[in-house]
Amino acid sequence: MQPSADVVIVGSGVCGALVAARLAARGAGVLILEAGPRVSRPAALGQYHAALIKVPECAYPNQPYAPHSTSDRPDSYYLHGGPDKFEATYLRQVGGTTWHWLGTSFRFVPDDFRLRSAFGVGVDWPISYEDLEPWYCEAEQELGVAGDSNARLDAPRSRPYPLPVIPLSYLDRRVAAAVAALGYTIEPTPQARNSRPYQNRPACCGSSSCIPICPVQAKYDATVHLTQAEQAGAELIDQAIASAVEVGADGLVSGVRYKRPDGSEARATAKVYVIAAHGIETPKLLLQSRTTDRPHGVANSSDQVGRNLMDHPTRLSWALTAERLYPFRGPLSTGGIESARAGKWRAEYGAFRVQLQNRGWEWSMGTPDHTVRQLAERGLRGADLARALVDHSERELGLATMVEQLPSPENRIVPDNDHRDAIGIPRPRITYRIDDYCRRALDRGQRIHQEIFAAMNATGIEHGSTIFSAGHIMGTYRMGTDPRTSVVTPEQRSHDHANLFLLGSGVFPTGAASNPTLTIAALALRAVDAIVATAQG
Amino acid sequence: MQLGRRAFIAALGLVTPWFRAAPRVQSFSLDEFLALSSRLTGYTNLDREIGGILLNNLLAAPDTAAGLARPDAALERDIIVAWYTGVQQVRGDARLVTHGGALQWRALGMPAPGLCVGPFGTWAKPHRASEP
Repeated sequence: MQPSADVVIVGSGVCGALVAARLAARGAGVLILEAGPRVSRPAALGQYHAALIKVPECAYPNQPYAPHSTSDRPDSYYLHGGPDKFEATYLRQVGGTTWHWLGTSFRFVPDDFRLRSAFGVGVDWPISYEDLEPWYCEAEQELGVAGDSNARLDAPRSRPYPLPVIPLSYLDRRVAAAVAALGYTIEPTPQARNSRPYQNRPACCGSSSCIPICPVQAKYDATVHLTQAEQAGAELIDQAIASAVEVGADGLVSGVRYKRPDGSEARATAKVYVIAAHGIETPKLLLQSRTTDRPHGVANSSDQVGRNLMDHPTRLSWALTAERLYPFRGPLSTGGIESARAGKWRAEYGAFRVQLQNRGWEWSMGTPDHTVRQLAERGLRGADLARALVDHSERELGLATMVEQLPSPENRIVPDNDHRDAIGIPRPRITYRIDDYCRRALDRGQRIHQEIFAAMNATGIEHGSTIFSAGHIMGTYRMGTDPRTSVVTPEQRSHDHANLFLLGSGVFPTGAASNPTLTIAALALRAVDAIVATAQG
Repeated sequence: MQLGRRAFIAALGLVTPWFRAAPRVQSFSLDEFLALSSRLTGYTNLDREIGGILLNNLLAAPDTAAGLARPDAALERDIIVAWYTGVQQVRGDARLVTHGGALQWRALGMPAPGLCVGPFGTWAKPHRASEP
């Protein structure tokens, strides 16, 4: 039997889950197709503990029928067209990448929505901060964001955070005291992490493993809303890999073909279709759905599908502080310098965040393992070695600057028909370049790192030159009012097909400097009314 | 017929008595290994199960097995790294022996990542590591 519903949603990450829960609560028949399998938290925890290399993806299955790249093997699924390597990863499983997100839940700042008007670079969004503000409030409620409503985050609020703030770590507080004289403040990070029981989930227990997995689900993940959706009658089919979007003679989407792991095919139909498979799989699905009638693929009259791929390029610095900061405890990050998210220099270089790491030098140097090896190499033994390890580890300070990246049509993902996965679906080929707008911002961030280290009387200061990925995939089906230059309307409806909605950070016209998930969620919630109206129409 | 390790060594000793005078591959008991490990790591009450796995992996490689009685700096380093990080090099391959039992977390006085550190908000206070 071929499944049918009022609304078919492709993807069960934060967008698919939120929209499914809202639609099902309003009585719509909802069918969710998820490429990957369901995940059990105990099994994922066991896999994490047993993993030799503890990358963000290590706790989860990587199925040949729904493969994904991993941080240690970015080539395992991506085909890299250069010149730079795109290393942002995502998960393909029920609940999506929210399983291993950090939980950071910033709002974008008002200037993020008017980059072209205010600074003459990038493009403007077709909506303003004020348009999105009520939806930010709803998203914070749904995800359970803990924050300090008086923190200086340059994003005016009409409602307080639903949960009390996650306290700054001891490390954050010591850095805050040291940099105050420089005019910097360390703001507590708003996080979708429980500071008290919420949504039948407990408060954070400081397991320090938010990435890859929270052992107690204090951190929000999309299974919260998938459960709500299924309880309200939504149907979720896992291991259903969307392979093509079909369009009828009337220009409306008429079905989604999907494959099963055994290679068999099926077709799901609905009145309205929502593709919410994140910034690589969504454009790939649209582009690989090309036919002789639509040689550029589905929803792609603008030729913008797959283009303008963005991330938050990241550079690290690390040093040993004079005083003990006691890292390796609590959420992976709880504070940072956030004023540069709304910098006035954005004609010249990107906005950015300076994030304080609660994990010492783990990201940059792989400590404490690395320290043990070094001390043993130096001939330390017994209690001397243990004391030296503690002394080093407790004084490690790691900093990360994550910067804004401008949209470029050349930064692009396309399906590669010559390289296919185990069930014959093209793998993504990615062309990607990090430009000087980013690099200048990264340099500026590292100058602030240097100021912080100096204020902390740090020694052994290192500024890494490697540019890391923040794992924030954005821009590949951007929204706008002009169908010639954008893929979806401000309500995230395809310009080309009236019953097709595309959700996720792919719709971001520009990427800002803030972590994307809260904005993804706010936009998804904002789209619900239009989806319902279309299904009823 | 496949001889067990001990039987094989004993058989060597029986048929080639002259071999006893030369340094020989000998078995190394778990208690001996834990004593050696205590000297190297600074911890006395080491986990016997983890110790058994580490020792078996060492005995499986002839050169390290032979060196256990008088370990050189490289072997000492490998034993320290295995206990502290929970990852042991076995014939060139890294192998995870324990996550939660890695001594580095005991040294820092906190559980390994993935295990709850305590009540909400403990990270806001200074922390005193437990030293051996």
